[in-house]
Amino acid sequence: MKIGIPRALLYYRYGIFWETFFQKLGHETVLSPRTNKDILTKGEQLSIDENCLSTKLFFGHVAALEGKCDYCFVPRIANLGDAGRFCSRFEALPDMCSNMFRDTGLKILRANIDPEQNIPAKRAYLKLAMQLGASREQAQAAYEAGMAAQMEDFRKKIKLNRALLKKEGIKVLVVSHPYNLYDEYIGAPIIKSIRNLDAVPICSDGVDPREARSKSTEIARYVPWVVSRELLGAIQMYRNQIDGIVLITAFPCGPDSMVNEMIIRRISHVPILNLLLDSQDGNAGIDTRLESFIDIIRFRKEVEQ
Amino acid sequence: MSAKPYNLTYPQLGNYDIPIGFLVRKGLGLAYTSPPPMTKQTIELGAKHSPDYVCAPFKCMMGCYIEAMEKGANVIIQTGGTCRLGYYGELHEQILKDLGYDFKIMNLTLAQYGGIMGILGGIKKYAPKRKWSQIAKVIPTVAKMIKSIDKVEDYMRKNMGFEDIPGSFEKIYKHFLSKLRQAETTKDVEELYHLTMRSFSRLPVHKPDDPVRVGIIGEYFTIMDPFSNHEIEKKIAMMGAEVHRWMDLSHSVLSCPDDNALDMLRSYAKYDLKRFPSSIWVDSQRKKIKKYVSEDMGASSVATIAMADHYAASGFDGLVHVKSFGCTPEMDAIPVLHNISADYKIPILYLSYDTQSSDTGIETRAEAFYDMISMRKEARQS
Ligand code: SF4
Ligand code: SF4
Repeated sequence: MKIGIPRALLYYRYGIFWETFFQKLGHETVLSPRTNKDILTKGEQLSIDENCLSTKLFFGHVAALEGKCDYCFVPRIANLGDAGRFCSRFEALPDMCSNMFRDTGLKILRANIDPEQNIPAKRAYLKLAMQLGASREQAQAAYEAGMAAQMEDFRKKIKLNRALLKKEGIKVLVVSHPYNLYDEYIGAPIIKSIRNLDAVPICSDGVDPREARSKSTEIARYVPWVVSRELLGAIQMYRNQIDGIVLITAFPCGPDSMVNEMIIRRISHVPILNLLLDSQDGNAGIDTRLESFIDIIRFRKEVEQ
Repeated sequence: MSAKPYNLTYPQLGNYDIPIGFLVRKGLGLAYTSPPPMTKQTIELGAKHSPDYVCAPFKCMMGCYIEAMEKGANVIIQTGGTCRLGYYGELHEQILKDLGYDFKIMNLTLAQYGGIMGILGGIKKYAPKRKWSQIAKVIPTVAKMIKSIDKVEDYMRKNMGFEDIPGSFEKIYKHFLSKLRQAETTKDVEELYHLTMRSFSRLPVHKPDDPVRVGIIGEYFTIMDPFSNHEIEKKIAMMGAEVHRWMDLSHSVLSCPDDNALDMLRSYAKYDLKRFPSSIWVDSQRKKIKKYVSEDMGASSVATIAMADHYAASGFDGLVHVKSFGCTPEMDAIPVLHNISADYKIPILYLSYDTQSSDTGIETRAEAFYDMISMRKEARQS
């Protein structure tokens, strides 16, 4: 079977797991292309205006898979138990998609991950594998292979950050949901600009998630969201090794609307640049803001020396 | 904090600060300050001290807290809930402390207290000498107050649009509220309730056999707070419509929508604080909308969809979807509402409020909507 995977939202957290898992089960996986103008336009048409850019792009990616796969994989991932909750959007995605694409030929492949309601990820994935015709052993093996690939990827990202931190020059921690960090229409151009300004961008997802979540409470104790906890944790873990923080938010992101305010109020010794992106004005003006931000950091550093 | 006695406050949400104030004063034996009725200023004050694009309830509550503290409150109550509500408390606290206020926060969230016992313990801390039995004793009165408010308002929504004497419903309603503030016992509340309903039923009305019927659905806070939604229900009712709204505290917190008693009991027994306040309704409503939705989509979204489907299936003439700008779970319900609208051919007016929403703007849209649905109705009847 051909299983389509939209290259958006939690793909950037679990994509490697998903691809390995489905391939191990003997299925072909089809990824939507990297975000391009068509995907953005389609996503905007499908979505109400008020949605965050990240979600609009997601729908564009789902649409890009129409006719390219037998099923499009859209799981519901509500929470990770004690590790926290996801933005409620991730509880809603499969039902949103099945309603939005109801009159097209696109079929949605679901999984329901909700440890708070006693459905841990492992159980959900094994169930899915068996629905797809695998035996329990095959399901188990695919799950483990997926997890191993995922862990390997985490280790790689952490190693990369360690190496970057040893580099000379101005280091900027870029803090955003992973799907924003790496998307061509959100974070990627910003990261590139930072590099072009002769500074070293360091991505917030290159941390051990468990460690980051536990460190996050040193900044704010009651944040309910998994990803926000990890972003806070990354700041806490790296704050003494970096020269500045760039926050990237897809307007009007629910969790960021509150957590970023907390970061700005509670982190005082590192300069912070808060970038809000929506689809209308694209990246206009962002380069100038980045440039003056890096200039200020450079100036501060020179004064200190 | 200094040794000043505790003086609690809870943000405005419709008229529910009456039962909450009662619970604090009679149950906990502590002082309670009602935030002044919300005004444009409250909202402006709240918005000024809140992050720009946080959902509007955060800003309204912020304004209420500030105004209540100016009136002498020194303990602010925050209730948790799924969604962002679960995080309101810590940020409200930070911002208010940065503004220089001296207060405590009773932040009744799971993140803070772990479980129901923790939450109860957290409340009790403020009234250490109070016995549990004293607190428990007032619960029936509090519940009665909530149910009375909800039933009185329900009756108003359905009938006030057809009154013969302008303002007659409003007058009785105002009287009801002011008397409710003085009620001391369950019996007081009951008598007041019956008196009010009797007065309502005596009012002269001209209601057609088949009136325009409109269902209001949407986000938990904005739908229950007339100030936040610019009195959308009253506006539409007064154009000449019977307005229905299921969502209120009686339905969402006190009673379960399951039809049979056994399911109801089961639902209470399984009460799951992690899904507060949706725990008692979400599963049974989800069963009713299987054809659209398979899972819990978060916060009030399932109730929104279930009631939209119910009103549409009952032949209503239109639906109004009410939410604050950027409200994630309610945005996520919209693709489903689109399908319900198409399947039942029922028009839906989508209203997304922020703190800058203009009253005239809403009035104009509501009027145009009403004209459209009443014309459709006439066309169908002839
Ligand atoms: S966390 Fe923010 S950016 Fe991500 S889906 Fe939710 S609202 Fe959108
Ligand atoms: S349900 Fe909507 S309004 Fe309420 S906290 Fe969540 S996002 Fe905000």
